[in-house]
Amino acid sequence: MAENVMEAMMKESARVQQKLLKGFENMMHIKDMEEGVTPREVVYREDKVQVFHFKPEGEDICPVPVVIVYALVNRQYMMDIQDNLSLFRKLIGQGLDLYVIDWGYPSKMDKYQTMEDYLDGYLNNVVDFVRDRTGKDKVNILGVCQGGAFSTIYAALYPEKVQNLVVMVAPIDLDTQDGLLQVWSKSFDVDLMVDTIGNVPGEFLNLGFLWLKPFQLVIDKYVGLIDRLDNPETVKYFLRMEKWIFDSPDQAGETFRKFVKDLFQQNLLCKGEFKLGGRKVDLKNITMPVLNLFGEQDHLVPPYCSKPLADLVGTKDVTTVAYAVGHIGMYVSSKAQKEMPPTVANWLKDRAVSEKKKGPGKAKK
Amino acid sequence: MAGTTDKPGEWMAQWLKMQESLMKEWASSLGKMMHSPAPPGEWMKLPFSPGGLYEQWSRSLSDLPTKREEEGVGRLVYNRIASSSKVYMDLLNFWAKSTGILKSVPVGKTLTVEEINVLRNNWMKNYQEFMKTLWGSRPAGDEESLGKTLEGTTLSASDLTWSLVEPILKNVAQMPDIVQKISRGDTSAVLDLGGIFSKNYEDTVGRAMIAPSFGYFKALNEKIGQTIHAYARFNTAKNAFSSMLYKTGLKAAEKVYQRSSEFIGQEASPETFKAFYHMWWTVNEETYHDLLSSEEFATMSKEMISRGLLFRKWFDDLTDHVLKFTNIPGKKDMDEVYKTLWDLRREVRNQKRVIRDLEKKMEAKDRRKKPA
Repeated sequence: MAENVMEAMMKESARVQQKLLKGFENMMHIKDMEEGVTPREVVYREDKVQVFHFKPEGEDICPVPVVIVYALVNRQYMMDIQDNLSLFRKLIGQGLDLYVIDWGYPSKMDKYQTMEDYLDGYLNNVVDFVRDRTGKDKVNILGVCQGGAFSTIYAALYPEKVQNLVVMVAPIDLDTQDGLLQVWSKSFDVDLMVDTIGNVPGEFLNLGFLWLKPFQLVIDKYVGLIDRLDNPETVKYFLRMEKWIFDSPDQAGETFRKFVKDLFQQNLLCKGEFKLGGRKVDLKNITMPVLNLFGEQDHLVPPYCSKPLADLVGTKDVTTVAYAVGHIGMYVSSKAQKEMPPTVANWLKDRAVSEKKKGPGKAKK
Repeated sequence: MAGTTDKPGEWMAQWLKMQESLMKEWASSLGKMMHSPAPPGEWMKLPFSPGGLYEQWSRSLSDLPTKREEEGVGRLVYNRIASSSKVYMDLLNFWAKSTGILKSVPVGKTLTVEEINVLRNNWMKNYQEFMKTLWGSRPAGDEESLGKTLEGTTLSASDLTWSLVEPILKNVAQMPDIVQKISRGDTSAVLDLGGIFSKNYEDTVGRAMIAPSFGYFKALNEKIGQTIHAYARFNTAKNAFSSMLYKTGLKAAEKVYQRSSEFIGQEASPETFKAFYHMWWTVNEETYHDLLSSEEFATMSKEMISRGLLFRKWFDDLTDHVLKFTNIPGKKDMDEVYKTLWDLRREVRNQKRVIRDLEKKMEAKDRRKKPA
């Protein structure tokens, strides 16, 4: 019996070591991974914010440009992580004209930056820039995760500039005791944190995300990779994902304070009591069509946080689409990669018929 | 398509070959030993085990590139994989031991309560050994970063604290009892130290730390006292937090022990171990999920983070006080600069918008003036 145990130990131990050696060979020389793979052009800069333009492809081009508003947490290149798993590439392949905001990395000097600065300032300037550049009165907005909440607020404040609103895994209704992030944030002293350290470190947020599934995300994810360490392509994909997961910008203190207190702790947006720059944000002002996409197995922004948007906005033209994936799966799963781009593109094109009749806008230099 | 690379030189290929042949030698000599006439029980007492060999090998592997290679995403992620593999290999060692314990029970024999207790205690003792590895592994260094964020301090502050609290610890009446428990291998007794420290600290030195001072250095002394006091309280909260996590680990151990019976009678093979590993991490995940969604966790983590932040606040305050006498700007000075910069940026943004709107109006006016 003991012989069997010893033999099993030896076999498994040797297997792990051999695989790790292969992994060592395949990984150690890789210094860095690229941030996005699809060709793009920087067309706008303001402070640390920049906007990338991805040119549409094909003949059936959507006449209204799309501004993609990513979250302040992590970076937008998750949607362009590698050649065969790039939502950006697939969206431009469907004829969408993409303008993607990169918020940059806030430093200590940005600790006073507020949500007003982000939305009334940067986002509004970007939207105006794209309207000028394309000669269009309105743009489509696609908000992702926290960027989805930001886009919803923006669309409510500036409905005259938004043709259609698309949100992906957006935290809208946070009055719940089910999600761990929602539970933890309720008892979190955000004032003490921001008053003491200013910006909230990205590492702190990452730790919170890892604690949602500690054994899976800290141990099993890596143990599960051991078997595939001898495959250089798998290793590269894993490195890209790891780089993205831990590439977490610090959060500008004042913006984080408002986001946690007003949205997570008091759920003001849903209650119709949220204010930005002294103005009340009424979601009923969202009269343009809305496409709401979420993941049924999302543990970061559970479906019940995203779904209620349909009942809160002022339009009847709301399309809600659920995918049987988790939060990250919304960007990289083969299912979402295959189904989501045509869904978004066709939905937008269907609602741009009047713009098509008008013809191309008068673009400015 | 591929990331930035810096291909390893010839030395790396040679070294990897050498490692592979070394591993084959280990495997072959251990294989011979297994088929030698020595009783199987003796193998477990060998000065090296697959787990031990793995540890040595893994260390040599991770030490090597520090001399030759620069930091990079490949190395960083490899270290995370190696750290998780260590947990996996230690679980393998534990599994071998526990399988041995369970298989030592003669088939068909009804065990007495005492025998069951001995069996369980041996199993638990081995598991607690394994838990040390588990808590040694960090999630990608983030806990360390968090600690630094909260503390933002120097080693001297902790040395100073230790010199103050050491006498209390030495004189605690319960100390001999705890030491005895620890020497008997009762790991949970270590956690009791935290509670004793906390109580005695608050009753003795803690009071002195926040007592009002007087004289020329009144402000400075009070700030030093408050900082040390805040640090001690942060450490206490950190210990209580760790204790809660450790106790949950023990709760999970109990569940793993119960579920281990599913493996009795199964052949010892790598596949059986993989099934055991899967059961182990899912049971732990579920048990920790219960803790993480509890009121207790919310309260304790809030307490630890708040105390860490309060310490940081006092530390910054003390630093600012000291820097006041130099021409180096302190936190408050820098905050003023940041605030001014933020105001200026806002002003510039607003002015740009006004100018842009005026330009648009003028363009529209010009267009109206021009004949069609």
